[in-house]
Amino acid sequence: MEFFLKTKLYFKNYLKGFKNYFRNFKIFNHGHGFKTILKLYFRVYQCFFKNSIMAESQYRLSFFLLIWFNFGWALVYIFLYVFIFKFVDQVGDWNYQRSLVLAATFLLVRALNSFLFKQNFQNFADLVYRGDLDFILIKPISSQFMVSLKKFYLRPFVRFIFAWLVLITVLVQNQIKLNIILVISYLLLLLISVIIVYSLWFISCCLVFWLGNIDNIHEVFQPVLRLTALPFDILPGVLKELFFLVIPLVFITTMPAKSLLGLLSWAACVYGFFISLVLFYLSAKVWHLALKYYVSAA
Amino acid sequence: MMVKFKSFLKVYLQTFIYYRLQAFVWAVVDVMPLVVLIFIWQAIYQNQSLVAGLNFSQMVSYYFLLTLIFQLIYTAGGKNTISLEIYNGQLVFFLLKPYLYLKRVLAEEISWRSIQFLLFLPLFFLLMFLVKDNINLSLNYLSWLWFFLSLALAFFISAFLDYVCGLTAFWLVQTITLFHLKEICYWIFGGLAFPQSLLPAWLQKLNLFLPFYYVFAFPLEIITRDFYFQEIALRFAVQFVWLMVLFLVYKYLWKKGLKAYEAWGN
Repeated sequence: MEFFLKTKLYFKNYLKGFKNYFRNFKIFNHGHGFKTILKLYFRVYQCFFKNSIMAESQYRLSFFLLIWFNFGWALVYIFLYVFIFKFVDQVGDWNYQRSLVLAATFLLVRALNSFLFKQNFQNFADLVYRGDLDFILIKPISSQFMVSLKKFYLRPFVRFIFAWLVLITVLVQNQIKLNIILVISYLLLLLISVIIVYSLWFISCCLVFWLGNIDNIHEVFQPVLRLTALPFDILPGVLKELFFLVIPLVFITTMPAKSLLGLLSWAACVYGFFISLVLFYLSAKVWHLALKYYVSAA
Repeated sequence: MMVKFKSFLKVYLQTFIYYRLQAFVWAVVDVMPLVVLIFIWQAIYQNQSLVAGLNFSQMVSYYFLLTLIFQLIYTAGGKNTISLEIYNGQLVFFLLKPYLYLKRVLAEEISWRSIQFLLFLPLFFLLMFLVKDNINLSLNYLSWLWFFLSLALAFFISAFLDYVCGLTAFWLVQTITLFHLKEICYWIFGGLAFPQSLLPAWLQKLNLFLPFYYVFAFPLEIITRDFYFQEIALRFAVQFVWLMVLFLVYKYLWKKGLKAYEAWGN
């Protein structure tokens, strides 16, 4: 009973804090309104994008070749599916066409996440170990925003286009009927998958604050991401529940693919939306906790 | 000659033990695809007993051995050491020393592989215990002898292929594209993505003349299928020829590269 009362009081005070923050938003943000803050962040984000293009343009030929090698990996991945389905008719409930939709969705999700976050998380351990995080923490902008979104990885560009082409080709060739609701739910679930991937990847990178200098900390999440290439229906019951309720990997690739094929319920979509918000909030909390353990190299 | 090499091994082993967490992360990253593939093939084999002439036990055994061989053979010294040191100018430091650069690089490679392999083994045995009923390996002692011999040759082929790509840093500002091309070839021709029996027949024949087959796929096939003596002797001969070719290419690029090399600063 006491625990219940304490928890109720905790959440009540927490909500009061939120109300207070939004009521006095301008005071907390140096006289700037919400729209102004949003505009400022958008301008900074635009600068980040321009800087990334300038950095890649330094070695144009290499950049051009790497874009196509990135595309080569996507081709290898699709050919793997083509080879496997020469010998089998279906994998679980997933036939060749559905599996290609899943494969294209996986390529899309990977391309999007690499584009937005890969360069940033690759440099994460270095930032913390060398003390360069100081220069980010003293800036009048969210440090999580700076650390997560400063650099863009432009090489998956052709892979991204190729994934859309594969998806559209499969849908058109197999006359899979689409309507505006399916398309919107697919795009929304893609957004949810980006938020979930970001949150889990970011939390795994924050381990560097406690474990010390691990250069490849950003690689810890990669096998988990590769796992999402599986249609999660083929997993045994316990794992299915785990990856739906606890660690929602099922919303990264399988659920968006199912939504486009008209196999997804609205309840699952709503659950995915809320779990992505919870994970994002958790990533912010982990970041603030990790900063308490940060020791600058001065 | 071996005294210097042993000293390098000792120094690098001590250095890499300090980075054991990094090695453990790589070990986990290397084991996870095995887990994914086992689930995929389990679902595939629900509806049929054979795929390209292989049953589920043979497929699981293939991927288990592949993961083990990958840990032992895969080299990254070309990307992480040679091309980086050429690009940063640190190569000058090693050119002034009274030992072969190749000896040092190989010692570093073997030390890192050893630490990572030791950290990988517990995960591997755990997975092996979970799927032990589906592992089916030949107990022919001659096959195991051929296997370890081909593994030794495969390690050096992988190393020299990697170092040849790394030496192009003498002329190219960014060498990452060559390493990507090498990885793609390993995936398709080396057996990393799927067993060679899944490839079309004409591609399987072409593959016998490429070096990538002899890095992962050939050692695996020695254990998982039966060979006639002439077949295995011919393949060993081609493997040895590729090793010699790559070694000579390495020596040629090293000589040419040093003539073109410039460095300045400390």
